[in-house]
Amino acid sequence: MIFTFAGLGRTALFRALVVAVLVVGATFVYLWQHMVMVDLGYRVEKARTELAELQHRHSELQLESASLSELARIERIARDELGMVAPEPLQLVRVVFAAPPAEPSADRPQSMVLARADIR
Amino acid sequence: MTAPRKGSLFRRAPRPRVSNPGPLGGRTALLGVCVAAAFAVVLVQLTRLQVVQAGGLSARAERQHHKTIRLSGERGTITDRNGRILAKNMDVPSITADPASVENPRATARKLARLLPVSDRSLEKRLKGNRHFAWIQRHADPAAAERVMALNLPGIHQVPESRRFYPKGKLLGHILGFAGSDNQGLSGIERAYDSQLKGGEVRLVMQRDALGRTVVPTGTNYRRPDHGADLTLTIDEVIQHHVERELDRLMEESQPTSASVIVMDPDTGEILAMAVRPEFDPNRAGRYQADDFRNRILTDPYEPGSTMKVFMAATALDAGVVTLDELIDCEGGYLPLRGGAMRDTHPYDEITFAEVLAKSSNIGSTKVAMRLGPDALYAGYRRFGFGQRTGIELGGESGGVLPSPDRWSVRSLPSIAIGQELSATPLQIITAASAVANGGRLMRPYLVKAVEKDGETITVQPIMVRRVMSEEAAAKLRDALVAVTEADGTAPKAALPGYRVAGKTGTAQKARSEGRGYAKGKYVASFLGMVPADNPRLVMLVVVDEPEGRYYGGTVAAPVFRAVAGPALHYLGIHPRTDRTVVVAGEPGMAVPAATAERANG
Repeated sequence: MIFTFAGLGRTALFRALVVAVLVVGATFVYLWQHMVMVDLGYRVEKARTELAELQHRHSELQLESASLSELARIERIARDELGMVAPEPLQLVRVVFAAPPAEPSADRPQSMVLARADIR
Repeated sequence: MTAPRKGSLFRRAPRPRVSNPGPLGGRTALLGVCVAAAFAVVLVQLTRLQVVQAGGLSARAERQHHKTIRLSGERGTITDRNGRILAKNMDVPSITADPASVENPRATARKLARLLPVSDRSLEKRLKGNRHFAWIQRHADPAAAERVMALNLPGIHQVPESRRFYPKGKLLGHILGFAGSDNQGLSGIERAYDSQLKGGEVRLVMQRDALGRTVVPTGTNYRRPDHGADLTLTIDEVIQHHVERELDRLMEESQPTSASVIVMDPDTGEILAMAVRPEFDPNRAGRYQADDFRNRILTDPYEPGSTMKVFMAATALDAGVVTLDELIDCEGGYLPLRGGAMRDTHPYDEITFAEVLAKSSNIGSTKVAMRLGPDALYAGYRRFGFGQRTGIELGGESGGVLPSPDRWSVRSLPSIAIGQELSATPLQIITAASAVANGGRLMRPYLVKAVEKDGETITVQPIMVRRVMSEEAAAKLRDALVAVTEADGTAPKAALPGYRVAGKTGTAQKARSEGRGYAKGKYVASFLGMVPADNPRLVMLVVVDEPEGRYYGGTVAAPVFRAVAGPALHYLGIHPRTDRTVVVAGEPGMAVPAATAERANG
C-alpha cells in the first residue's frame, strides 16, 4: 500500500511536521543532556583526582614536617653540627618583662629564660 | 510429452533454456541449506547468549561498564598535647598482579625481583595460576613502584593503599603501638582506640567508558566515608624527648636488661611521658618480636622494694600511729624476727621516723608497720591501688600481686612493709605516688586527653578514684621525703639546684625465676621523685632492671630523674630559686638591652 500526502490537509501536514520537530528536538535535548552529563562526569573525576593528589601532598608535607621537627634530630644538629651545648642550671638567667610605667598595663609581667650566652 | 497440434489455441510454452538444470538446482538447494544452517547457528548462538548465558554475561558486561570503588575514611591522626603529629596515614602504592594475564611468570618475576625486596621464586609462585588477583608487594617504596610501572608488564598493576606512619620513629613506640597492613590497631593506643581511630567505608559504583575512564557515579546517594577520630594524647613531646634521651644514655652506661620512665601530672593523672627500653620503632614493627613492643610499665609487675615505704609511711601517718619526729630504735642494724632477722645496710640506733625514710631503714619501717598491723597495712596499700588495675585505657595492664593478710606468713608483715612479697607495676606506683603529691587524691591515670570527630571535640576529664590520705599527712610526708635527696639521704644525685625534691629510692633484689628466694646479684634499681616538693607539678618514676656495675636506686636511677626533671621544669615555666632574674621594661621577643645583659653576666 502506498501512502502519499496528497490526501492530507494542510493542518494535518503541519501537525505531523510539528510532531516530527518535537521528536527530533527532544532527541537532541536528550543527547545534549547526556553529553553534558558525560562531560561533567569527566570534570568531576578530574577534580576528584586533583583533590586526592593535593590531599596526598598535604599529608606528605605534614609527615615531613613532623619528621624534620623531631627533637632528637634538632638536638643532634645543634650539638654535632652547630657546636651548641645545653646550659648548666646556674648559667640560666630569667628575664622578666614588665610593661613600661608610662603605659600601665593590666597584664602580668611575662618572662623568658635565656642562657647567659644568648644575651647580646 | 506430445507436440501441440497445429492450429490449436494453446501453444506449448517454450522450454526454458537451461544448459544443465540438474546440477544448478542442487547448488541452489545447497546454498539454501548453508544459509539455513548459518541462520540456525546464529539462532542457536543467540539463544545461548540471550537465554542460556544471559545472566552471567549480563553480569560480566555490568562489571566492564561499572567499576565499584571502595573508599575508606582515613584513620585518625594521633598528636601530642600540643598538636604535634605522632601518627598519621598516607597513601602509598601497592603492587598487585592479575596472574591470568601475566604472559611469562618466570620472566616477569625476575624483572620484579630486581626492583622489589621480594625473591623471584616467591614472585613466580604468586604469578602462576588462573587467579585474577595477587599481592606482589603491599606498601611499596613509591620510587620502586614507579620503576615497576615503567616496565609496562602485562598483568602487573598498582593500587594506592593507606599506610600508617609514625614520623617520630621510636619516640613513644610502646605507647602508640602500631597498626597492621589493613590499618587495624594491633597494640598500644592504636589498638585501645581502634574503633574510634578507624574511618568508615563507602562503596561507590562508577561508570566506565570504552577506554576504561571513570565517567560519573551512578545514583545520587554518594557520601564521603567518615574520617576516623583524631586523638590528642596527654603526652608532651618535649618531656618525652628528655625522658627517651636519658633512657638511651642509661642503657649505654648501665646496660640493664630493661628500663622505663614514667612522668605524671599529679593533679590530673595525665601521663606526660612514658618510655621503655629496649626501644621499639612502630614504623618497622615487623622486625620486632612480640616481647619487644610490650609496654612493661603496665604489664610487668616487680617487687618495688623501698619505694613502697612511702605508702607504708603514708598509711601510718594518716592512721596516726607515728609522727615524723618520733624516735624509732633501729636496733643497731639488726632485728631478730620470727622467720628470719631484718637488717639495715647501714646500722642506726635511735633516729626519727623522718630519718627512717631518708635513710631507708628496713628495721625502722618494720617497727612502724608492726604498729599498723597486717589488716591496716593491707587496707592502706589497697587504698593506694595496689593489687588492682589502675584502669588506664591501654590493654594488657597487670594489677600486680598483693596477697591478703590471711595468706601472709609470719615474715610477711616486715617484708611487705619494705616492698617485698608483693609486686606492682611502675604505673601503679606512680599513680599512688601522685596521690601523695596532690594532697591525698588517687587519680585515674590516662593517656588520651581529647577525641575529635567531625569537628566535635570530647575532652577527657580527670577522674578522682578516692581520697587515700589527708592533705596534711601528705604534705608532711612530702616534706620528710625531701631529706632523701639531700646530702645525707640515699639519693643526693636526684637533687636539683633551686628546687626542693621529694623522693624515695628503691633497690630490690629480684626474685628467682625458678624456685624460691632471690637471685644473687640481680637488682631492680628505682627512684620515685616529686618536684617541687611543696606543690609537685611532676611525679616521675625511673625503674632500671638488672643494671651492670652500680645497682643502687640512688646511683643508677636518681641521676636519670635529675637529668629529665631539670629541663622539664624549665620547659613548664617552673623556675628554680637559683635563677638569676633581671627585670626589663618591654615585651617578650624584644632585644635585651646591653646594660641588662652586662648586669646579668656580672
